[in-house]
Amino acid sequence: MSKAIVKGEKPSYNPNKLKRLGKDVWRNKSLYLMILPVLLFYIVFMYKPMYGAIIAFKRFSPGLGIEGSPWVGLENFEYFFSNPDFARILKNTLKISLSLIVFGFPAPIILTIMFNEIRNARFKRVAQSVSYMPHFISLVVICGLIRTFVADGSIIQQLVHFFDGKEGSLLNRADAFLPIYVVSDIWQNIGWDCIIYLAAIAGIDQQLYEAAQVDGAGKWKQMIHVTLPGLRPTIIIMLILRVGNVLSVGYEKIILLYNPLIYETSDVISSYVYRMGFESRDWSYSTAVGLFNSLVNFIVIIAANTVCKKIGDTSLW
Amino acid sequence: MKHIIKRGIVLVCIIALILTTAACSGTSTSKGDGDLTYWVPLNPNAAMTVSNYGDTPFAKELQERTGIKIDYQHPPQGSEDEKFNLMVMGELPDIIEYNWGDAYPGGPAKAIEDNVIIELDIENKAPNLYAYLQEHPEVDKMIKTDDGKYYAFPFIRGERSLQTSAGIIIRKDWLDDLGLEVPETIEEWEVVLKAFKEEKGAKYPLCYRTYVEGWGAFSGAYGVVDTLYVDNGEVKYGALEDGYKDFLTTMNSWYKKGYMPSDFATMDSSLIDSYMINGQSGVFIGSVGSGLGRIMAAAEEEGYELVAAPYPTLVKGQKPEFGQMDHLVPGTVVAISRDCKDVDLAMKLLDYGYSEEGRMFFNFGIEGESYNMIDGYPTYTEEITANAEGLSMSAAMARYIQAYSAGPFVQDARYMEQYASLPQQKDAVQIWSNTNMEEHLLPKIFLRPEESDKMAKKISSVNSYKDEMLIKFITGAESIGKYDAFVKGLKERGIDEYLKLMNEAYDRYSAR
Repeated sequence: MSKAIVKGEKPSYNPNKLKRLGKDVWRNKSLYLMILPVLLFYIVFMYKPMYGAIIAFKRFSPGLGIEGSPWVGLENFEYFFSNPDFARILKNTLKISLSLIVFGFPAPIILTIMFNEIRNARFKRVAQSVSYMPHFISLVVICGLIRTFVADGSIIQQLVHFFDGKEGSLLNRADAFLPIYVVSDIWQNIGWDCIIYLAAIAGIDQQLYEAAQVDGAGKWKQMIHVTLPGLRPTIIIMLILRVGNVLSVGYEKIILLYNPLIYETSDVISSYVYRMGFESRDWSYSTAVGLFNSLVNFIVIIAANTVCKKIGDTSLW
Repeated sequence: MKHIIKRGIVLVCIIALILTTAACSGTSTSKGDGDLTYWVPLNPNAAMTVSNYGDTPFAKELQERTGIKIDYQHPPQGSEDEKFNLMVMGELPDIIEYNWGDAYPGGPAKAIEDNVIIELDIENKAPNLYAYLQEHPEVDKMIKTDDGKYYAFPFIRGERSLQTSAGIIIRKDWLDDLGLEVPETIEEWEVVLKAFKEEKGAKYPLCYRTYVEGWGAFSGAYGVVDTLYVDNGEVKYGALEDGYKDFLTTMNSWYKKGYMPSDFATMDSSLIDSYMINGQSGVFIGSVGSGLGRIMAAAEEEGYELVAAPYPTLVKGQKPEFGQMDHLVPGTVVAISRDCKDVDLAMKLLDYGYSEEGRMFFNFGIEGESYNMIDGYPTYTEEITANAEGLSMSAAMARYIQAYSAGPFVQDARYMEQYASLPQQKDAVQIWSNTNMEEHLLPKIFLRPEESDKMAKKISSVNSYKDEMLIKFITGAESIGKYDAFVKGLKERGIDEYLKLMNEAYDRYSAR
């Protein structure tokens, strides 16, 4: 097996290879069996639906089905790019997504390191549990909470009101949407995202810390020179994955929070797709927009991976 | 030990997989042993007592009377649309009751063209409905496609009074205290709202929602409606007309004076309920039953009274041009699918509701059980009005009649007279119906299939932009000075083309 991935050897599909694969399957049958559900999941829920994406180039009508609907070429894409709303939703999507990367991405790393420095085991456990609690609450409830937190008369609203004197719920103000979205996102996910970094920290060799102590490094220096470099591969992989989703701001949270008054800053590609698909029943059009979204994500993730490979030694593939 | 754990994990995975596949196949439609399958969203009121409509006394009696066995199929509540779309792509039930006008992209003509539903031979196979249509040519038009094909059995609002059920509702006791009359003009509204705010301490005198401008609740005074409407035989779009700017100016000034909740754009109905009940507001817009009747019953304040206010005008004494008005055939219609095994039998079943006997049955239920004839007037029994099991009137009705929702029959005004029985409710329908809306209501018209495919995205783009700007203009997030830019934005999104096609469609409709 290990020979097959040695560089330079061209993969060839002679019957010998196939036999070898068969043997391997037989020998590790329980392992293959374990991966089977995952494989099936991907085939059924991720690959098979891709076929449906061809309706982006059709004029889909449910009565005619995917096969029977007539082809329209790039009509749906043309309309999207020439639409006056196009620039706005693209801008909002990028803005929200980049803010999430800039502010949201480092947050769990910082929190993990803080957890790591806590000596009181019980406090650490409690703090950790509390921090990932919001992750398990249904998004609908979360958004209900957010609405209440920033409603007219709430503490946060009063605080903002004290500084700028404006009335009304913060969700009715176009300029407040981005901060609300990003801060609440951090609150929702910070604890959960910590888990993977905590696992990585646990994998750092304790001898490194001891050696650093012998060399006279204090807590701060240990963090900079041992913990962070130890976390580096994990951070990079997480960053690539995150960057690959640069255009995918989930529609669920957006549509639960936005309203027409703040479309200007809150309408993103996915919420637009949702409105087009479900409210105007134009599935072809919304598929076309969704496909454009995926295509950009695909390009970005490849670019990010290439850059990481060039600069450092860690990459996805 | 390791092996056992490994095997355990594999086992769990396999079980999970099997369970998920089983769960998926479990939701497919079941084929019962009935003569016909009947797909219809289960009305929420009916859902309070049964899980399948076939278990209601109504459905049992219907099958008894017609001698046809029906298997009712219901989509899960809340995902009717998704289920409908998925269903249309596969094997279809025999009969499908749904809002065919809106639900199927391209409209009924396209549904026939795509061979989803079939053209109906009403003339020969549905004598009762045909007789009704002969007497009511305006209904006849509504269930035909442009090229004259009947596509469905309609739910028909039998009288004008049934077509209007919502409007502006105001605190009568406050008006009396202040010595004011129910306001009729925008000028009088200013006075009333001011008095409510200053003398009655109402934080937000007017619980405002923008969707009510689709009926012209306040914009009607300025001669426009916030959607498509007909004016002198021409289809117009309110936001492009002259009065719209004046309307926005007025609403903006009301907003600035604090007459409306600052977050009216995101307000939900429970918030409106509490504002009204707690006396934080004195005016809201709602329906006869779930608005006026329900709030009045819920309010505990001594002397609390709500009455309907007429749709406002600019000139005192003028009859309002616009107001809420439902179509004669409001939306839900019953179509027969391409997969129907026995079309004649289905037509026979669906035609029953239009016969004299069927009309009584659909509106009042079973004589002796749900109603009695008292002096020639079908009066609901206590089973409906004061149910022994403690069911609300609508839940009790849902078991015996269909007049509370929709179905293949003609709705009877005597149903509404008993459902909304408070004097204020009876007056409300009178007051709100007193408009010229008949001349302005745009009938359900359809673009040609090829047009509608191309226009669908433009229409939603236009409407979404309009909704956004409407709220911005009212709250002042956008100044009224930007109105011309707004009109330009509408044109960029294709409003002119849309209007042109809608005018053509309207002409085709008029020519039916």
